[in-house]
Amino acid sequence: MEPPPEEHKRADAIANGNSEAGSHWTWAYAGVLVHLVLWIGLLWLFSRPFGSTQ
Amino acid sequence: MSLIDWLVLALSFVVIVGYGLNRSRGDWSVHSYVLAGKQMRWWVIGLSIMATQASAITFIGTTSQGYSDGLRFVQFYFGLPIAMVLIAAFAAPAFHRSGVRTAYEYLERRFDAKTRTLASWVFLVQRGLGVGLAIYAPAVALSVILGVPEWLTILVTVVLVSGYATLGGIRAVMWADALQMTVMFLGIVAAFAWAALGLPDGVSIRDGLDLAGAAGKLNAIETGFDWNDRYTLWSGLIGGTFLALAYFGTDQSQVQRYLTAKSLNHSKTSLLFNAILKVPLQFFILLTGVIVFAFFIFEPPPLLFHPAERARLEDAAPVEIAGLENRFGQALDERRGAAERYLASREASDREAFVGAERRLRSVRAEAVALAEKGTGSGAYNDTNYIFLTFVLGYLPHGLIGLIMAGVFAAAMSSISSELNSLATSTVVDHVARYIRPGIGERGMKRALRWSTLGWAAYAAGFASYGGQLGSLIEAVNFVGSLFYGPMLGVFAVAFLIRRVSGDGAFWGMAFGLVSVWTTKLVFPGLAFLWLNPLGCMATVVAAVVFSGRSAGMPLRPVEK
Repeated sequence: MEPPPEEHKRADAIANGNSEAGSHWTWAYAGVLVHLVLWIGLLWLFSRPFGSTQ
Repeated sequence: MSLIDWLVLALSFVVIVGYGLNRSRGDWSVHSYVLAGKQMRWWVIGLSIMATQASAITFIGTTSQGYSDGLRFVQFYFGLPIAMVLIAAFAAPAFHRSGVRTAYEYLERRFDAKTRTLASWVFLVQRGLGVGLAIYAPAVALSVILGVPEWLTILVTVVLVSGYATLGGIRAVMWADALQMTVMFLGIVAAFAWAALGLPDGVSIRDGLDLAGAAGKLNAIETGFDWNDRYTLWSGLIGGTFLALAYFGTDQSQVQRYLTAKSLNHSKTSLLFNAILKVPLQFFILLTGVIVFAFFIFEPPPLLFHPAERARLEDAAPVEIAGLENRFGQALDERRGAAERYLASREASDREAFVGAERRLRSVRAEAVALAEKGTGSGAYNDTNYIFLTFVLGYLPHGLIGLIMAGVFAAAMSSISSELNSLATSTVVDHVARYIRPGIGERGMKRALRWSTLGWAAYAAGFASYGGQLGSLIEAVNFVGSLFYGPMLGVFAVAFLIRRVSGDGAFWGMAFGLVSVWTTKLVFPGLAFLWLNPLGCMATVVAAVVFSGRSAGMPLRPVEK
């Protein structure tokens, strides 16, 4: 069965580098921001046991 | 440095330059010289973006900052991943689809020629100063440490860089960047490993970090808010985001990198590659400085790290400096003893004793710094750039010293080459081909690009050679340059995001933004400069919308070349 035209458009757009059409970029952006939050948390946890005094 | 170190350094020069030039062989068109034929893959672009940002001062100064100020500087980079996401989502697609060769060319397609020309001039002034400093600052430190004349360090750097940047264009620059970033990373890993291995028997990395933490070096996150402190979580997240947006989203030396991508997906991936790696990388570089601090608890560091200033003081004030050296030696012994007692007992009282010993050591050093400041013409003494190099040259084995020096030069060359290439591109594309010789052909343009690269290299070498005499003028001009970033970001933000803004609105909006930033800085001189970027950006955006009146907005149009 032929895929619906909207999916064709999305596939073409991704193949042509028009990546807004691909939701994978939204996930990639979200992943980067989660990664940042995790690093901030990790650095905070890293600092804690060494008890900064200044 | 021994013969083997010089050989490692020379070999790194030959390999890097040869590799860059070899990779640029084949296509000699302007398209290839400026945009690498739009054939670059994401990982080369990603490494090139990283290497362009990392200057020699990043390499030797950031490690030293880890030693003296701890991990807090890492917060400065928290805005970078946010900025990269925004650039990947909005700026990269706009640049990529418009087919421009410079970021400022996009402004003409979106607005008009005067807005493009203003933005391009701002870039040329700001980056032109930056490239001079990128050569001058490390040349001073390297010449003092290596015992070679400043002019020789400047000459070697400029000749090598301008050679491959002029002959091979951006393709040579970017492939060399990728290799240079690898050399830099290997150098940092080697230094970290050697500092950790150099801790005494029975003292683990964890113990070293424990002592560094007691001395306040592991303060990676500071949640307090202070308008005048640039290293807090909030200034990093907000101010850092705007700074990174301006640098990576509007500065030709970075934009040109992701314009070379073979597709928009490669362009975006290269940006996200940096978004993911930058914070861990900066953390690791700073942590190397912290481990060097732990190393120097058990090995005596010099009272002052600047060897020439130390020697000058020994001549000028022998009695005072001898007294300080004596007290410094006692304070070092006391700190080492306190550290050993604390590690053996893990008692809170012994920890406090170590913290007290560290404070006394710092106060003796502060007296020496004050003495040094009196003798310098400018009244300022700063040995930050010498701390890491003192460790490398004093304690690392031969061969490894050469590798780390190769990393320092690689860091310098990677920034300078990208800046020369982008300055030449903007000069020729935005000015020569636009105004001076509009009908310039392919051959003429290629020739102009090469001469322009050489011209900028000669200017940068001249600037660096006279850098010592410019003194506070450099700081003043650098400060003025930093005020441009916010309005520049504002004008690109309205170009990408607000359709109804007109050419006149954008131009006068940017002018208003510049005046707002300068006025604010005059009224609040203590305000951390990071905050001026959001302010300048927002002032520009609001003014551009207001000045555009009822304009219906303009679609992208073909640029006149």
